[in-house]
Amino acid sequence: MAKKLISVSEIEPGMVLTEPVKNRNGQILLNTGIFLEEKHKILLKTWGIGKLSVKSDGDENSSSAVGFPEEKMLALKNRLNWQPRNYQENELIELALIYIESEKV
Amino acid sequence: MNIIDKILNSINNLPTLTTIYTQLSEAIDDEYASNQRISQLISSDQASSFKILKVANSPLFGIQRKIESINQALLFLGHAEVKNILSTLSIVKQFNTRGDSHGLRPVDLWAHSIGVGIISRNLALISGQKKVDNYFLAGVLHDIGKLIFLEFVPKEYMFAVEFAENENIPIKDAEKEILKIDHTQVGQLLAEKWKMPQYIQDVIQYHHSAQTPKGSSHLLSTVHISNIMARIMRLGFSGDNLVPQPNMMVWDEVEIEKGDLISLQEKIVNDFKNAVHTLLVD
Repeated sequence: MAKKLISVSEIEPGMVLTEPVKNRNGQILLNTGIFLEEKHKILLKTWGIGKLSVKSDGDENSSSAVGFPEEKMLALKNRLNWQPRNYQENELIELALIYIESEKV
Repeated sequence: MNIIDKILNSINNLPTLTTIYTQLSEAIDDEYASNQRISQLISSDQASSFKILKVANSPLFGIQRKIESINQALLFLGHAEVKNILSTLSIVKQFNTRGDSHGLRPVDLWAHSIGVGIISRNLALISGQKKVDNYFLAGVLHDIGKLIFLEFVPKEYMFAVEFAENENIPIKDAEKEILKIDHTQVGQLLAEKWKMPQYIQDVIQYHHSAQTPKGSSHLLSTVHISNIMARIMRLGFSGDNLVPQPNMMVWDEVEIEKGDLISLQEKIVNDFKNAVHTLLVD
């Protein structure tokens, strides 16, 4: 998977972390696969983190997650309100969308 | 008497698992016991052997030819698997699976548990696990605490279910609020009483976090994912309609390739319908 190193101020919502962010003691603060959000800018700054590794564009075949369209996520919102962090969770959400209309089996 | 005492008393008063189960467990754990001895033991209980054969022939186990005797079941499925089928049957038998207590049907809770068992086994197979005997049983038993609530304090449990729905919170939190004890704690008490193996106890106690104090395991992580998938696929009813996000660490434990979760769904639904029918309806 293609990665690139960016600084905290370059974070754009939806970027995917490709290496864990750790503090000085090696403790993991944010894990690989996490979708970055606006709030992470402040968090990472307060943690004193300078650079982080994210998935770079043009990497369509990667196994990372893709964001789901707002309107679809909205339909699930009462039951499921989290964003996928990897392809497995992507598929869980796809399944949830398939079964959203169905009755209890 | 307060609710917790009532539940504890009820668990204390539960019978031990049926004699045939205990005898069989001993026979299977005794490596010198022959297939013949084991099959004699099971066959002496006609109702049990009939059911075991039905379950053994269900698509879940994927045996191509028809299994017609306990001896064949032992041969094709192995001792551990037959023992687990019998455990499942003995435990289901201890509970009331019929009727409707205050609007919540035990059969729906059971169906959720069976769904988790089915998915667990399928995920174990697809993630390349060689020994898959324990996954179905572990999945079926993960929520046994909820069945105890429904059996012994149905009215109060219904309050908890309603509370979860109104507040849009997980049933586990609602149980804590209304009953002051949750299904993982109650389940653990029963697991101890029935001397269930440690891996089952871990699943009952830690399936929400997928972490025991000693770490995780492939089995525990699999049941954690399966519980979420059963909720997503609406197999039965688990007490609330929420779908939590998995613990990120389970994806390191259980290797699932791209496309596997989607392509499994048809088999899961099929296995599920069949198992519910065999275990609950007949």
